[in-house]
Parts: sequence; C-alpha cells; structure tokens
Amino acid sequence: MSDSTGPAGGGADHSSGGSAPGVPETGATDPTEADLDATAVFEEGEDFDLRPGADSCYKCSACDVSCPVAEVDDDFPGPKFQGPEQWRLKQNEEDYGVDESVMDCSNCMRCDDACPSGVPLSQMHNTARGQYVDGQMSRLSREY
Amino acid sequence: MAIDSEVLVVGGGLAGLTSALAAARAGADVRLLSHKRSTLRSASGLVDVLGYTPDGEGPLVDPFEAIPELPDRHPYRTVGVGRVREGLALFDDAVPGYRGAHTDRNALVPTHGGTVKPTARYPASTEAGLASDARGTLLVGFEALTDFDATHAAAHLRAAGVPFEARGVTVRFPGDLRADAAVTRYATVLDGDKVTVDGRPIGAPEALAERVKPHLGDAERVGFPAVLGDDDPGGVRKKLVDALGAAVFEVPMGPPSLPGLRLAERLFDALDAAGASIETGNPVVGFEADRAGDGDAARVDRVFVDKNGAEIPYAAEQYVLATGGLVGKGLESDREAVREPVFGCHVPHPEDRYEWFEDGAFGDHPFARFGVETDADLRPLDGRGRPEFGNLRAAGAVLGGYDFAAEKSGSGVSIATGYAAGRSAAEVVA
Repeated sequence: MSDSTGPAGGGADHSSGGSAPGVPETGATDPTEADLDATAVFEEGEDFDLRPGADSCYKCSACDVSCPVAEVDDDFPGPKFQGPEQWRLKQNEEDYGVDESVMDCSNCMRCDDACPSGVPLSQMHNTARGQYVDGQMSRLSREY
Repeated sequence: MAIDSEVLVVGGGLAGLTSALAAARAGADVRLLSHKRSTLRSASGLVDVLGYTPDGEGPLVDPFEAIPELPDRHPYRTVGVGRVREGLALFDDAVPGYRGAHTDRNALVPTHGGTVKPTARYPASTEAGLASDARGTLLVGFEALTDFDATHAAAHLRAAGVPFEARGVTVRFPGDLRADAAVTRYATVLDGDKVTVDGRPIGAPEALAERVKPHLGDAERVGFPAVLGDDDPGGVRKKLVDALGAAVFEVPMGPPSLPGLRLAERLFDALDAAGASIETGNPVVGFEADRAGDGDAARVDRVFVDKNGAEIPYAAEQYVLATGGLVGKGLESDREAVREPVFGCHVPHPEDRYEWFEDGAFGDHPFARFGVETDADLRPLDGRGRPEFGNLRAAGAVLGGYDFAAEKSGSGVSIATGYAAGRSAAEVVA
C-alpha cells in the first residue's frame, strides 16, 4: 500500500506547520480520505543512506563471531551476509527477495558493537526485515 | 560535575588493558573506557615480543638480546628492556592458559598459512604444535572452513624445512553446519552439542576423531583449526586426545580468531578482578585542558564521552591514550593528513602523501611506523618536541617508530608500553 519512504499520509500538506504527522491539517477534511494511512503515527523518516556503511565493511567477520544466533542456529547466515552482503545484492535486482532468516535476528545489536568499521548493521538488518514483512510476508499469517 | 578517577585509560585493547591493570595493581583508582572491541579479536592470540629486526634479520632466537640494538625511536628503546620483562611478568601473572615464560627464546608456532611465527608466549592449545617439536604431524582442515587449507599448509611447512613430517587432510565436520558457519558455531558444537552421525547422536569431538582416525597413520600429533571450543577448550582437546590417541593442538588463524577472543576476555577478567572500573561501547569525543603556564605543559582536565547524544564529562589526574594505530582507529588518515582523533596529538608524517608508502606491496612503508612520538616518560610530543599534555601518556599501536607487522612486535610493544604508562601514572597519583 503505502511505500516505506516519504512523508506519511500520502499527499497531505505539511507546509503550514504544527499539524501532527500523518494527520491532515484542519481544512483538508475527511479523515476517511483514501490516502490517509491510519497506522502512520510517526513521521516516516528518510531512507538511511547505507552505501557508505556497506563500503566500510572489510569482512573481518567480527560481527558473525559476536552474533548469539549464528552461534547456535545452522539456518542463520549471520550479520555479515544479512547486512552488507544482502544490501549489495538488493541494489541491482528489482525483485530481490529478502531471505526469510532475517526474522530470526534477535536485534541484540552486538554486531554493531563488534564492528570495528562502524558498519550500521542493525539498520541494514531492520531495513531488510521491513522489506521482508512489507513485501513477502503473508498478511494472513499469525506472525504478521 | 564529572565522573572522577585517578587514572583514566582510553582504549580497551592489549595496551589499554595492560596499562589499566598495571595502574590498578599499583593501587590507583582506575577507569578504562573502550569504544569498540579490541583488535585482539582479529589477531592470532599469540603474544610476540620481537621476531625480526627492522632490517629484516630473523627469525630471532632471543628477542631480549636484540632489543638494545634497535633504533632509538623504537618504543622498546624508549621504555627499556627492563619494562618489557616487567610487562610480560604482569601478563604471565594475570592471564591463565599461556605458555612460553620458561625461556627468553622465541617459540616457533605454525600458523594457518603454513608459515611459522616467532613468538614469546602462546596459548596452551597451541603448545603441542610447536615447530621445534620433531613429532610427526597431521594437519586437519574442515571442508567448509576455507581459512585453513591443511594440505597447502603442510606443503608450506615441508618446504620451509621443518624438522618433522607434515601431512594435511581435509575432512567434513560432523553435524549439519551451514557452509559459511561462524567459527563460534564450530566451537559451540564441539563444546557440548551432540551431532547426529549415521542416525545416532554422538558427542562432536568423538565424531570428529572418528573421521580423522583413518588418516592418522604414524602421526603423533594432530593440528586442527583454532575452533576447539569456546567455553571449555581444554575439555574439548582432552576428548580429542583420548579418542585419537595422539596429541592435539590448534593452529592459529586470521580473523575472526577464537584464541584472540579468549585472550581479550581473560584480560578483561583480570582487570575486573583488580578492581578497575570498565565502561565499553561509547566513544570519547572531546576534552578540556588547562592551558600551559610558565613553561609547564598544558594538562588534560576532563574528557567527554558521547552517550546517546549527551556529552558526559570524565575527569582524572592522569590519562593514558591507548586507542590503537591505523587498524584500531587510534590514528586516522585521509588524503590530507594523518591525525590522532581523541586529543589531537601531533603525528609526524611527510606532507606529500606519496612519501607515505613504497611502491612494492611488501616494501618498507613509512606509514607502518606512523604514530605519536614521545618523551622518555611516554608523553606524546608536539611538533616542537615538547609534551602535548603533562598528564597524558600514550601506549601501544598509537605510538610511532616501529612496524609491528614486519617485526612481529605488536603484542610486546603494547604490553611493555602499556605497563610503563600505567605504572608511571599510578606512581604520580600515589
């Protein structure tokens, strides 16, 4: 439905300040307007530019070694793939399907802490997770 | 209103930890701040003092004999060979599970490429693998663990003329590990999981030994990649020894390195036991200094730590800068210049960046020796040869004047200068 970037609420005009994000200002009327996203409570941020972060990765695998899920789960590829490698794969392929294993990431952020280069691993993981949920997860599933 | 200590150490690598440990054991109230993890986690876990002279002579038999002959600018010459011994004594006392203190001579440890590294101290897990040991050797690699090609490493050792027979074989690791499993996954499986082989559950070390046995021949010792257990490496080794009927050792690998991780953990444990405060995860982003007066150097008054956007002041009487070199990011460089980012200490380097390196990839690069220059008390000097700050000392890879990779001297310099800086700082506040 709504894309994950750009201001919430579709075409609502935010220029005369003060209005809460996602809520059309008074005068723009009808809250049942088709392009109002009722779940958009927070203003959508801009996409992070993850390219400099991905370029910083020099494959030391410190993130993989600090990951508590990779230590015990044979189906989990680890932060190194899930972050910078998958990010690179996503760039050129239009229909790239994010790997389902991203849902097993516990978001503990130890990978961020371990990375000597400041790669924004958790940002990449959660961006990928968002794409997976938006694009690939069934809305009828219990997990959704 | 700052968070006070007597001695504040910035940087939680080998030099910072040694410095903090030395100061804490000398009775000072010590706080250690570390932003990122130690580069020890990427290093082999071996602790070297000096393997080669700056001219490339080596491998040296006795590093302590060679130290007084080093150039004046070398950090070992700044602190003196006595401090090197004292620093190692502190290491030997504080860190369990290391060998090599019984002699001044270097040990020769085979590494994952088949090269042999001269080193002063080595973990117990590598002890059975020393190159001076003449027992027949089988190296075992795992199919999906590409960092260790056992056949290639054995061939390399044979070509180097080691005094023992060396063979290599690659086996499939038992259990259904994925192709790019992390080294911690291998270690966890060996620590305790049962794996399923031919339908029956069996302990992983026993299953691995079963796969290695057909290749054993008359080899008396077996070398594996350094993944033999994380929680209980000694226990894993013993199970392998019992099942194989041969001595077992680990072969140090490059990053990521379990022996390096274990070493970093043991150092933090020792610092904790010594009663120091340890804070990790947040960077030092600024400082305030009292201006110099009447010929005295300026003094650092406080540093600021970024915690989620707020800058929290930390104050101490004495400070130690142990933030690392170009790898650990204690030195930063771009097209314009080389800088020390925390205190802005002067880093001597040519203005023309084409003079920072030689053309050959393995040439004698000036950048490998970049770092701060210090006085005899390890205080960084400004461009005019005066201490930047009266109460700031530097230790470890942030120092210039040595090439740790070519000399195989990184750990020793960090330990010796860390020890010296920590002891000096503690003596001032005592």
